[in-house]
Amino acid sequence: MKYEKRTELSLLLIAGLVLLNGYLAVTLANHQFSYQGLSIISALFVFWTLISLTIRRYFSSADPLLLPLAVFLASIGLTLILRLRPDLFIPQAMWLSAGLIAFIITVIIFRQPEGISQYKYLCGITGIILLVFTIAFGVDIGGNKNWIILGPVRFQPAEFAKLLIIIFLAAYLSERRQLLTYATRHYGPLTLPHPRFIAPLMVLWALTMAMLIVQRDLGSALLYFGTTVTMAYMASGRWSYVALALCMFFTGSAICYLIFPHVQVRIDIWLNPWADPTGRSYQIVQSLFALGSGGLLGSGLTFGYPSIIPEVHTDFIFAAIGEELGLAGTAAVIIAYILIVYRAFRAALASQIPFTMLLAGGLGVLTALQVFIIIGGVTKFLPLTGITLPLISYGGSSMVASFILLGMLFAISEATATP
Amino acid sequence: MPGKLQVFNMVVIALQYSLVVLLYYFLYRVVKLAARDLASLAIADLTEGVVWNKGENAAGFSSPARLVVIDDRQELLPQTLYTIVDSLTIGRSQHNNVVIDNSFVSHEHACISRLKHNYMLADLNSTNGIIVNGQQLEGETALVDGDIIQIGAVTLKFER
Repeated sequence: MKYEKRTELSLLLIAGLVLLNGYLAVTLANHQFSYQGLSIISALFVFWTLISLTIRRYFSSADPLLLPLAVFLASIGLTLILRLRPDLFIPQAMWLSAGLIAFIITVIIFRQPEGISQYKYLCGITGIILLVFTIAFGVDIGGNKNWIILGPVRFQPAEFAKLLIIIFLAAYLSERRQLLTYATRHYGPLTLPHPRFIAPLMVLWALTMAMLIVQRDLGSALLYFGTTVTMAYMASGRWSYVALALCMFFTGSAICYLIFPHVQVRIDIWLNPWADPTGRSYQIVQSLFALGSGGLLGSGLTFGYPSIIPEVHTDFIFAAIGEELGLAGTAAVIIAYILIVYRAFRAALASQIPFTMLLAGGLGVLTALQVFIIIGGVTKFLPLTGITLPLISYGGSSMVASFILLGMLFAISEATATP
Repeated sequence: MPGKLQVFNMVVIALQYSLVVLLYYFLYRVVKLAARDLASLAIADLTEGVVWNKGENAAGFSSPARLVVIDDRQELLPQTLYTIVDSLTIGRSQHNNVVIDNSFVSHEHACISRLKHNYMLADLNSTNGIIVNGQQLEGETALVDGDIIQIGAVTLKFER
């Protein structure tokens, strides 16, 4: 058997054991053990092993760590969902299967990743339409005003829009990297490219500001903006972009703070949650208590009280990990994300084609920023945000989008591995 | 009965700890693999002068030298880096390893070939010639690390 295949299968086996162990620990402690749950776990285990075996027939040398890391994080997520909201365990298991199917489809679509760059305008326009749609017609479900309801289907288009926009940016910036680097104008100490070439970047800036105002969503705004700026920097190697972008973001945010009262509320909660601990800042205060009471090893699954926190199974799941698994659990989760980001950058560095290089780099930056922002929000490092912890939080859109992201990275690592 | 309950409770507690142990066992395995991967790249770097332009499974065979695109303002080349595997051809026709679609470049313009420990750059009777380190190339030359090769509108740097 090939080295990559053997590695992947053995790591998937350990991830499966994590899920089994988590399931037994939760269900035995609160007396909910059932053979139905056990059979769901076995089915998932068989399913992801089959996915690995099928995909390794055609993609023999792609990165063997990506799929196991994703399954590992999803297993931790499933265990916590089972503990926090047992009624959502079966839906989340189904979302995981949907994610695995999305993974395999993405890998097939991206088997020649450089070919995707010709659909850049289609991707970019679809992404922006999805975002504008959410901003205009978003429906408030559970505190997040970014849902779209189409008949029986409810989903969060922003999760998919960010992937489309990254594909667009990677193609656009890699084609124009020469222009961005050389066709410059001097404005005092700053050297900036011709305004014509940064117009798409300005459009994205306007969109993120609209998100901030209409959806009250600092997290997503920061996520989109940070990824765009980092990709522009990766393509051009110029710090002036970063400086300009940061100035624009902070100016825009400051103006929003002065004009819109709801932004002020958000910031005030962040600066001093203890002013109103039972009202507006109830969520963040409970999250801080949960993290603080966890300690080194936590209270143990089912032995804490994380259910006090509102929305604990989606945005605040990290606080639940902190309370019940302690520093040990939260550190393990963060290390797993760091490894995914590392593999993304590794695929980017191994790539010889600018488009795939920027795409892999951009996806890595997106994952890193998203994890950073939501963990920052939960630990009160950043103002409260409404984005998910990829692969762990409950949610179909987020789960499927994360697996699509990993599928792209998987395909890119295959394309760069074969000289 | 209390004995049975106690055993059950101990199993529940043991499962809590084994979960943490399993989490870290998984991460240990992954980090070990990632570290081995990095170490093999570092060794390749020392012995062959290759930094990162090689694939996951290419451990037994590493590319010995490369051409880095340092100036390509007309965007004629799809890649920023070309590895030289024994030999490499440059020219306008599609079958070359490095295709430069520019009327200034001949169909078969130049060729780099490995001769024991040297890489020889040869002009294949091109119309407009090759400029190596600012000088017109006559016939053939052995390349050394850092040589700047200009062909038409493209500038390449040889690294090994």
